[in-house]
Formats: sequence, structure tokens, C-alpha cells
Amino acid sequence: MPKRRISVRKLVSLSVLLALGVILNIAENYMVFFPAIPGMKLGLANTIGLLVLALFGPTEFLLIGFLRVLLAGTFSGFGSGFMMSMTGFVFSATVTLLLYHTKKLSIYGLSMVSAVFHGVGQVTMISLLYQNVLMFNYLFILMFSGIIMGLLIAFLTKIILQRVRFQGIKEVNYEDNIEQ
Amino acid sequence: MKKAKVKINKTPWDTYTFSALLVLASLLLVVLNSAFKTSDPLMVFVYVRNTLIDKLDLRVNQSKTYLQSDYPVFKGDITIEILDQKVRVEKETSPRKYCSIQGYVGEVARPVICLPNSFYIVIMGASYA
Repeated sequence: MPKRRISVRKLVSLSVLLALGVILNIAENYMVFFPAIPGMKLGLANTIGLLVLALFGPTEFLLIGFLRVLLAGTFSGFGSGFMMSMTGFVFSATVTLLLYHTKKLSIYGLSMVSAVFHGVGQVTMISLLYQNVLMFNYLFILMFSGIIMGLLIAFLTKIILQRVRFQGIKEVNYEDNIEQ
Repeated sequence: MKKAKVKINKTPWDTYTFSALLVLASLLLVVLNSAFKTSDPLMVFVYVRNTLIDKLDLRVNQSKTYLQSDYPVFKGDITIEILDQKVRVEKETSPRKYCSIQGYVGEVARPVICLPNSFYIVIMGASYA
């Protein structure tokens, strides 16, 4: 069976993106954007996820996302916060990749869905932890914020993709489609 | 079959998805608001994990502390305060203080969760639970 080789440049690029993702993840945990709504975040670490998907593809997107949550957990602890992050990631990555393969949505749609389902995953986990469906009362708040934050993150990712020259990536995984 | 790639410009499907999510979130808001509407006098229900440990009248201004010695799962003592038909977690021990910085909550069925302490409070009608 032929071995799949990974170039050093690709390995370095992925490592840098992973490190940035972990830093953004941890930094965001300490920022409170809206005190009245705990858990509402800008989701800057999602920018890294979208970048990885657009530059490398779905396998790397899954791998870097999983490692980001795991590494952030080693710094912040493997408590209930980690369990919520992991469930949020599993939900959002599953739905994002399913929709990515339909080839219908752009980076905006994928980012929105990813942010919303991250919230759905988190609320599901906290409902299971406390065994109370009342926690779903946070869902509509996280859905509204997910839509807005998802669009902002997609816009930011698009700017980064257009402005930054990513060296050593032979074939990117995004296309500059005609806006409709 | 053509390999899937990330499109970086908007497509009509983004607009449909945006609209669908917005409608879904709005429906959820309406359904939840009507589901928890109550004419009963409002109470603050205090939980540790899924166990109800206390019920406080929301009409009475008061402050109450739950001790770590009574609930070993707590990271420290937790004080809640009821003022003008609203409730807040006044003091708690947690790394990010999410539940105390949330401030006063007056809405029915909106829990205030202190995650590492496995503690939460919620305003509901007296007949709840």
C-alpha cells in the first residue's frame, strides 16, 4: 500500500494554524463580549477552522479542529467547559462537512451553520449534564448570535484568504466563484 | 465527480440558509416564551446538578448563601441576591466568574448557570417542579 506523504511545508503550515487556533481559543475564554449572555463569543478560533478547510480540505479541517479543542482543554482543564467545547465541535464539524459536500453553500453559509450548530452542541451537552431541558432556553440566543458571528467570521476569513499569501500550498481548496 | 471546494463568494443557498436559521430561531423564541408563561407567583428555584435544593419567593428582597461545606461539589460558597423581582448570583468561586458577571435576571425560565460549581438558579411559577 503506498504511503501518503505529507510535505514539511504543509506540516509547518498546519502546526502554525493549530497553534494560532489554540491561542485564540484560550484568549477568547477570558474575554466577555456580552456579560448578560454567558457563552456568547465571537468565535475567532473558527476562522482557523475555515482557513484550514479552504486551504487544505476536510480531513485537515477535522484533524486541526479536534486537536485545537483537545489542546485548549489541556490548558484550561478537562471539566464541563471542555465537554461543551468538544460536543460543540462535533456537532458543528459534522453539519459543516455534510453541507460542504453538497457544494451549495459558500464560506458564509458554512460559517453560519458551523456557529449555530456549535451552540446547539453546547446546549445539548449542558442539558445532559444538568438533566434539564430548561437549558434549551439559551438556544435561540446562541442561534441569533451564531448567525451574526458566523457571517462576521466568514467575512474575516475571506479577507485573510484574499490578502495573505500562503506559501508552500500547491493546491488550495477554495474557488473564487461568481457572486450570485 | 468534481471535488467539493469552498466557495468564497455568496451563493443563493447562503440566503436560504440565513433565512431558515432566522425563522427557526424566531420560532424557538416564540414557542419557549409561550410555553413558560405563567400566572402563578414567581419563585427562584435553586439547583445543584439536577437536585432542587431551595425555593425562594421572588417578591421578597433577600440574600442567601449556600455553603461549600454543605455542597462539596462547590468551589466555594455561593451567594444569591433577590432585588426588585430579579435575581443574581452575587458571589461565587470560579475561574471566569461567568455567572456572577451576568448580573440580575428577571425573565422566567432563563437559567443562570455556574458551570464549575454544578449550580444553577431559574425563575419559574410556584407550581413548577
